[in-house]
Amino acid sequence: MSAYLHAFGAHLPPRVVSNAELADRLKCTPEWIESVSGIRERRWAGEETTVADLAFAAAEDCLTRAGADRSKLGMVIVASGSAPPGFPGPAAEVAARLGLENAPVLDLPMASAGSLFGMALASRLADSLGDILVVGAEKMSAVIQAYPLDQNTAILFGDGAGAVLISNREGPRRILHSVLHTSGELRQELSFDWKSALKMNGGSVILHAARKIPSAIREVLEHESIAPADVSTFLVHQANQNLLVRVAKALAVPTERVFSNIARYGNTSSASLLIAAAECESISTRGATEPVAARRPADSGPEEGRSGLARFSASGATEPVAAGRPADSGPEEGRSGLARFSASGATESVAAGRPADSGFEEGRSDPARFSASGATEPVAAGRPADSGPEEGRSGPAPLREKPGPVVFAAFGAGFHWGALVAA
Amino acid sequence: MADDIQKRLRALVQKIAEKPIPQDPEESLFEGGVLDSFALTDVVGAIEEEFKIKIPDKDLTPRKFDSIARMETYITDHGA
Repeated sequence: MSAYLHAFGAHLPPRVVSNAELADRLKCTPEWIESVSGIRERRWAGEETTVADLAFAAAEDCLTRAGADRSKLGMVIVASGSAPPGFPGPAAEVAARLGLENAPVLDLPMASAGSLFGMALASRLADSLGDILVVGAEKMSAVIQAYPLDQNTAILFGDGAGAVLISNREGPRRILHSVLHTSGELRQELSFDWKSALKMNGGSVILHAARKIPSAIREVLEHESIAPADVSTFLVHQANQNLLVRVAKALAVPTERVFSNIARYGNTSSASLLIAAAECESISTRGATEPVAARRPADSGPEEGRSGLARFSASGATEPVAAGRPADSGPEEGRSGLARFSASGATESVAAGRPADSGFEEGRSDPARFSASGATEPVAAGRPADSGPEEGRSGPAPLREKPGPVVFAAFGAGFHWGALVAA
Repeated sequence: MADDIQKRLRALVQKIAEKPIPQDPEESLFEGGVLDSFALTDVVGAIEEEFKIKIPDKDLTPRKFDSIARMETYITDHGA
């Protein structure tokens, strides 16, 4: 197998939904949302924006960064768990808008782990198909708003899309190996069918994700005789910050090596892995590439044209979209956070309470911020209580600047999970 | 034997829990806020290490480990 990572791309809709805005609708406080999830804000696409719109914008960004000839694409794979039911899926529209006439395209109707599965599939097909564009695109705001907002899930999810170009042509990093797994008997633990509200047994999801992600990473690394400590960057599905910390802990690597942007985008399901990769790459090539956020899809609605970066102040602080109402409606007395669950198996959120060993304070565990100029810049990561970074280290190793391997890993509804290593 | 298992369970759970473990072994550790979902991942790992058992993925359900009594039942049933 000869497959290489060439470039990543991403698109995030410009509308920032702050915790204050959500708290107002969910009868809780912004502080509570952040304390149980680590999320400060997320992006929601406009009503008219489709999954295909988001996917196309990320695809354009990726192809521009790669400098690739789109007419030579051998395949397009679009992963999405939130595309509307029916056929054809968004891949056909993305291909048409890219001007492709004969290249095969494939939809992966997979939430969360979809991008990883697409990458692994592409790495196995690149020898025969050449350039393969893999896109993960999600409009999770449509999923959580299809039914009355559930406090346990509405706070988590965001919209966005990410993309990666994989090819048999030599590129910056070679994909060494990938492993994929599915436990179909657990499919009801996290599911959505548009006929009823999103179902999530958070306790079970957390339990499985916290074991299966590190296990898959070890499996893929052992195949290549690579020690976790030798990996520069772990790009993991941004489900929640506590899970990312758990993954680092399980692998005995510094938390800073596990890239995190969940505070700003929430859980964007299958898009999160590639958005994280695109952002990580932006950090490494700062000045050479445009920022990840908010590129306008060619034919998207007017609300898409606004730059999301304008939402960030020079200090990196986020300006709330709408002033939240005063915190007069906090969580119920005795409520102890979304990570709690009952023995009856009641649904709970995957989001966890603030991890004891990794805070979300300003300047900590937040490897990248946007400046007012729109450039992405790394922010010095604080030393976590349990595993400090090397002296002077300031966040995850950029994809292009460090020689060490990069690991991609994801877990999601199905359950599907796996890992991929490139170097 | 059962007392020994329960004693060892209490010790390992207490190392992870943020609150005192209830005296009643049947009492839910989650409803009382002794453990949360993430802490349970640590508890499962600690049980595997302490009792030298491998808990298969199919058994990874919070209900099986909701109380000291349920943990004890699981361990006894799985030959530790």
